[in-house]
Amino acid sequence: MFKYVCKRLLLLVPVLLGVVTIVFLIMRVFATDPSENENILGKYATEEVKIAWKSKNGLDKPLAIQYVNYLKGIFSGNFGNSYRTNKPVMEEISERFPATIELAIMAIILASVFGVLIGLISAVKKNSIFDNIGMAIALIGVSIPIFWFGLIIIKIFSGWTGLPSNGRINSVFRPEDGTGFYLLDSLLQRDFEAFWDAFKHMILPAITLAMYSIAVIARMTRSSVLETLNKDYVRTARAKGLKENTVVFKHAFRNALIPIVTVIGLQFGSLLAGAVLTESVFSWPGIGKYAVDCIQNSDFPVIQGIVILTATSFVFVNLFVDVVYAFLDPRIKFSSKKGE
Amino acid sequence: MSSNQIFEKKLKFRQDSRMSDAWRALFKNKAAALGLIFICILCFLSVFGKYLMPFDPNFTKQSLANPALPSAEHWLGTDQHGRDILSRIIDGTRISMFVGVVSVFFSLLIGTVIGAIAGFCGGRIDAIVMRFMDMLLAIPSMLLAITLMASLKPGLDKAIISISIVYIPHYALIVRSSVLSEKTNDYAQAYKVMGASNSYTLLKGILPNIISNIIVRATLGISVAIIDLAALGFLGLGVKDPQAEWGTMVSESRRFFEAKPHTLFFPGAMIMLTVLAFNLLGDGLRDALNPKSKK
Repeated sequence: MFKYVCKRLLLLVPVLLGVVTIVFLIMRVFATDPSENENILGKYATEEVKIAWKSKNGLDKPLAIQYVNYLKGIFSGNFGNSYRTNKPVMEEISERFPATIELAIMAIILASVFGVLIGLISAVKKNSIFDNIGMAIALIGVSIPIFWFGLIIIKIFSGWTGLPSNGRINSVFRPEDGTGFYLLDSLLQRDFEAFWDAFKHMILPAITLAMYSIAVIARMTRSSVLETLNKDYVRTARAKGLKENTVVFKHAFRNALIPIVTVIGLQFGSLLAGAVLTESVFSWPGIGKYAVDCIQNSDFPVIQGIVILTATSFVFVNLFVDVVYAFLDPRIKFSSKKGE
Repeated sequence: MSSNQIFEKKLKFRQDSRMSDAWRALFKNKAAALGLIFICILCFLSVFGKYLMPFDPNFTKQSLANPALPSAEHWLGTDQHGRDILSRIIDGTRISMFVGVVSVFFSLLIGTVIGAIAGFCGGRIDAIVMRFMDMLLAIPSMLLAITLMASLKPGLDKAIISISIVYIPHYALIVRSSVLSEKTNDYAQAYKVMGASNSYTLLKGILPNIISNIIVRATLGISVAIIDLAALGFLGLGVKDPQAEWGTMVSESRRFFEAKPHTLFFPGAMIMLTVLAFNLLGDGLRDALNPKSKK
């Protein structure tokens, strides 16, 4: 197992190096000159100012040298400075990443609970009205544009429930120091009013972000449980005269869990990165919204940093899922041992 | 007639009957048939929409500066510039369908070539190509699309390029794994024994056997491309103003939707219905072409 993880980790190195290269090339070759962007040097910047700015940021050097310098920086943990704020990219990102992670965790909890529930009911009551409704919800979940869904639930729920639809917490309650995870910070500081406020702010964005994952998890749960329900050991369990609940939960569902856990893990990976639209709709101060802001302002170093960071977390979550999968399923462990 | 020709004729007959079976199965599936009918309507609107639009989609009416509610004159109301929403939705159909189909065509074409070569040749070529695909796949698709779009600047052609590039690795992976599993089959070996060249085996032998899988993926892919175009439009990175595009229309409605929800509702509902139709058709095609996959 240890060897397998090490091998996978080593394979990640060229992939991440490739990601860095691709993002660098997209930003430096195709994109327009950032010094021309009004938001960086202002509307009336003279040619001299622009040239001086480019030279300061190393943009006047040949592309290959810029690339080597960028790589050198990354290996020492320096992703450069933001063109707009002049603050280190990592500092800018680390201020916002907890917001994205917190939202993704909330969304994946919602998605897992509702997705598994819908899928399980659909599978057990196959071809019934429950199945039809469950699968219709799943189908709508994969078809609905997430930004539109977000705005619709703001229109419907924000008004009469009074749930906030903007930002992460009321500024009055903002925890000063801490991890950046407001729910956790407010609990640690025993500020339950702040906790409740942060929680309320999270409900609508989390539902919006979870919608697609609910659909995917529900579909996977249904097909996986249906498959195990047709297995011989389930028939044996029924023949033994076990209660239907025991058959479904202990025999069928438990054996169907592996693909479900996998799909939940993969969904979490994509939620970490896929919050761009949800964050934009709810003005959620995470890295998704920040990426969009930076794109509009040609803030290359930050965009590069965000893409590299999300790609890294994405591949690590996928690796983690694979390892958990191998851990849960003895057959995979066995075949990987045989393959060594 | 050589034995080779007889063999091909028999194969064609079997393929024809399989296709008609698939069509029958598809039309029996009510949801898929419904999806297909809706897609036909969308195609019709894309081609003949300009003759059906009640107003010029870009015509601004200053007297209706605020979004006007649906009325007898403007069935779905107007947007903040007094432009007729129904006409803009019809005009947007053309853009969405065009981008959806064309971007899937390009990513499918390039992805299939890459995947087929990687899967068939194997060895070092496969390893190199797939590592490159892994790199592209490691970047979350929406983030890659907006990064590309931001670099290329808004525009219809740029949207097609961005969405195509994002989905090339997805098709390459699917085609590669299908080719890998098919090339070990007896029929593929038979082509080899008969002395067929590699490209002949791939094009005439293996590709027809994996085409059904590719068709299903492409149908589902169009829905993803349409939703991505709308998302880019929503973020202000889609087509250029004043071109009507559904995602941009949703984005523009954000300032008014609390008071005038119709500006938000109709374009978004159109995106959802279109994506739903392609998903229904894709699911139906999968069941029809691959009866084993039906649960």
